[in-house]
Amino acid sequence: MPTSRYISLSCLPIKIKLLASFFLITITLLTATAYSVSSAAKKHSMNLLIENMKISKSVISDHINDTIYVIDKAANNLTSDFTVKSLILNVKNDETSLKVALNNFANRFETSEFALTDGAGKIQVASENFTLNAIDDIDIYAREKAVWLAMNDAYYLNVIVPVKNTPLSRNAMAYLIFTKELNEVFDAHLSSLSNYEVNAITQFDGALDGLSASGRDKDTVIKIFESQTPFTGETPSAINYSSINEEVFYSKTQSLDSINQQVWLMLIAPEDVAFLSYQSLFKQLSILLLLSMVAVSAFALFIANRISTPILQLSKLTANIGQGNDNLEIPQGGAVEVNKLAYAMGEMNIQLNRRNNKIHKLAFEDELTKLPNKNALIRHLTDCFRQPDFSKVTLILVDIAKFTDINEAVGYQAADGLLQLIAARLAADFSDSSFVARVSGNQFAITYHCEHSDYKQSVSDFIAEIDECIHQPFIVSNMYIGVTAKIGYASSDRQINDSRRLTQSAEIALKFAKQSFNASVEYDASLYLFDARKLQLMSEISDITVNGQLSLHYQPQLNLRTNRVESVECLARWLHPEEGFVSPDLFIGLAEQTGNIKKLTRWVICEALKQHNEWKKRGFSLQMSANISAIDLTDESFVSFVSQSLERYNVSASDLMLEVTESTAMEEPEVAITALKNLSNIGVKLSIDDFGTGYSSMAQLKKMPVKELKIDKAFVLELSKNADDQSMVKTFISLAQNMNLKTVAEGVEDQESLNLLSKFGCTYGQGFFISRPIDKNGIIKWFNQTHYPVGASKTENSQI
Amino acid sequence: MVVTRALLMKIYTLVIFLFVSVCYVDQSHASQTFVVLDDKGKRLSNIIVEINASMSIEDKPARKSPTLPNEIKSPIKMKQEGQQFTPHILLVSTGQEVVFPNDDNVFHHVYSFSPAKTFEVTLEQNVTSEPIVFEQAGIVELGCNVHDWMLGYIYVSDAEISGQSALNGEVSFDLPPGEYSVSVWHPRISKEDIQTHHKVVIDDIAEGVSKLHKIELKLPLYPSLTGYDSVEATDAY
Repeated sequence: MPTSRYISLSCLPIKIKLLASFFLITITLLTATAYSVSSAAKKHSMNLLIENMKISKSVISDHINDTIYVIDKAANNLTSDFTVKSLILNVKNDETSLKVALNNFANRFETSEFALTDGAGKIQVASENFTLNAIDDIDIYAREKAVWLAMNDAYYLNVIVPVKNTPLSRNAMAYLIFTKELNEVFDAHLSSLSNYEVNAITQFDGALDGLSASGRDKDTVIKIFESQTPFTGETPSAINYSSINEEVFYSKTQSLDSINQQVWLMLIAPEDVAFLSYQSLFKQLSILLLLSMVAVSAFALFIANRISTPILQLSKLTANIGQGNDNLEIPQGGAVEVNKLAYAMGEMNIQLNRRNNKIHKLAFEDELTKLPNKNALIRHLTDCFRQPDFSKVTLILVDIAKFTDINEAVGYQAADGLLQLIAARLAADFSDSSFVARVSGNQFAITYHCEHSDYKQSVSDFIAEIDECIHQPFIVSNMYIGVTAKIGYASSDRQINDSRRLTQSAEIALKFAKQSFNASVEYDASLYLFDARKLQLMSEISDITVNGQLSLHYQPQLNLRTNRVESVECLARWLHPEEGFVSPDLFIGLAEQTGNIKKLTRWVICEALKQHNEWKKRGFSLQMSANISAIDLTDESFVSFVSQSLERYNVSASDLMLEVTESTAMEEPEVAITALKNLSNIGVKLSIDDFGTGYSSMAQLKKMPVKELKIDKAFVLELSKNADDQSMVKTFISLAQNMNLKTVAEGVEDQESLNLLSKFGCTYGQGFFISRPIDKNGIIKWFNQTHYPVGASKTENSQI
Repeated sequence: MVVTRALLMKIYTLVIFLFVSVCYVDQSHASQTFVVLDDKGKRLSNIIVEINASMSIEDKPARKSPTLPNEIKSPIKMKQEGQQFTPHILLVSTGQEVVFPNDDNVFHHVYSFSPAKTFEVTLEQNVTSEPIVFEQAGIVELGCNVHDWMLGYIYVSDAEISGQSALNGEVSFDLPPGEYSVSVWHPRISKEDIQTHHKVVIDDIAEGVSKLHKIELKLPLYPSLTGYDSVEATDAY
């Protein structure tokens, strides 16, 4: 799997995904909420600020106006007083009295300075610090009740009241002035009336001066006043905005001096004060957001757990199913879908188990006999070898002999029935202590676990038991069927220490058992060696026809009537440079298995014909017999090869006798008959070899264009001593005679046998008694030395 | 008040009737009628009209108008009636004596800080003060120290001829031909208009023919004081 540097979201656990989704949604919603709330709150806060500023402004203005009003009222009362009025209007006569009186009143009104002007504003009497000489337009100021005037580098609030002749007089005869300095007006009390900073701005000849009732430094106040610009987005006049050294101030300015426009009231709200309510709201909102975040996270986690826990359980369950565990916990309590899935997985597991069992059965049980099969056997053996207290095991392979014949004889159904019965019997007799299995068509395996001290004997006894068990006839479809078994067995030892070697060894033993006459063969290391050698030979066999290792030996056949050696059988001999003499039975079989038999047969025929020609030149006219294989019979070009070879070596077809074994001829009689007829047609003689060992159908035999029967040496070797063999041979010979066939008896070992054969009417005798097979040089010598006349007499030859 | 006012009007009518009658009796001088008009051309009553012969005119009137109040040597009354001064504006010549009869049943304390005459007089109920001589020409504004709403004027005139416009806004003088300087006063007339001297020429040709001389104000009148609509109103006549 290629490693990716990017973590795909789809690869993340559902919990994290869900959590992330919830977070995303919540954050989006909350952000939107926070944004809208905060913007609304900010707007509201701004409106609040504007409103509060307005109110504050009104309060401050009103307070200043109140101050003016109080002084004005008091002063008006004063000027209405006849005595005071008298004093005032009599100023020219008594200035001192008036000054003292006014000083008294000024203190009473909490004003610092006072003055008296005439009707035109010219100062008549004034306190010490009242430095103006005249006030122009005093009538206008008087109408406004107060005016801010600059004196001694400071601004003063001058409350001006007219002094009239009568209260209803249209014109003032004089004006009385009480003044309060700016800093007396903008005092701490004024500042305390507002949440915002209260400041006064004044202008002297174009230069600004500032005074803060709330303690802010004068320069900042002036800067704010100078830099204030209408706050954008709001009503321009509602509020101003200034930024001093990155500090933001909101302010509102109002002129306190409608006539001269020299004095202003300015309220300042630093940003944090301005949006105090907004900030506290924002803080609350933040806490709320945080809380809802936590709540949502918890909820998401809860949901995610609700979903992922059953899924994780399901995945665990799946893993368990995968491992084939039976003890399954089906998770429950999840969502309906999850439960359904869990249930389905449980069902699936049940079905899987069923199928597994079925597969197991198919894999490890033989369907026909219900016995364990070869796989089961191997598994059992493997388990045995694995057991810590394993000591020794013997594997016994039981092969039901000639089962193919039985099959043909009784039909496959009955044969199957037979197998079932055999299986049942073996199982009944041995499965208590042994493992019984059917390993192939007609092969059974039985294990023997031995704890006996005399191992060899106990195994032999056990095999005898098996043999006995098999030998009892079986009743299949009301037929009694007796079977024999070939048994090969092997026991575990130092070399054979696993199931593979044990089965292999037992198989080798069985093979040898099948090839031998013995009912049972125990595996021996030599068997294995033989087997290994066979493989070696198999690889070399294709070359023997060219590398000179193959040669022909010749065994004379004696005509028992003429007592002449009239024919010779050529026998292939393989002299291996290392192995030495290789048995023909072995290498012919190997050649057949490896597909080299055709080449081998042709080589033999060529060699034999060449030799025949040579002998003829030397004056020995003999019939040459050569063995051919069943495979040659299926070779369509074989006949033409034979005829070409005869021509090539200038040999008469009648001098060539080709031998096929009885079993070969009878295996596929139709094919054999056709092939043999073709050979016969070109004049070649044919012989049935090893007669008596197979099952010949007389009907088929009759159809075959054979001239000769060769009686198997099994009947001849002990002919002189064995009456049974004598009667058999006698029967064979009379059978041949009846069919107008010549007979050859192989394996003649003594004179008595020869005599008997002669007596029975056998045509030819062949065997060690006459001569063993001799190589091509030796046979010439033998021809010259033997007491038998060599070569067919013409008369004899023409007979029969 | 209504009764008082009606009575006052009857008196005025009688005076004017007598005045007109006298004019017709004395044929030596032609009767010259002046009418004071506001900036909108409306006739104004109760206006003080002062006439002085211009310096350039040789033929000065031989004597002061026989109709002038200062001819009457007996003290003139400025009454306190209904807690108000009656008349609202009293025209006197310099040196005239004025008495302040208290017709009310409350205490009054009449005073003035006016430069023309500073005085004070306390008046018990139904008591008339001693006569007070007004020697200096000018406006004497009267107030009452115990009743702030009380306001009255004594116009002390040193003009050769002076009079007050009647309800119809006219005032007539028997003047010989010549050039005259005419000025007007009333608390509601603007400063500028008060300071304006109107030149009036009386021809011989016009003698025997009563001629109407219009004195026109340039600026609007000051508004009347609260509660003084009846006494200071000029357009109600």
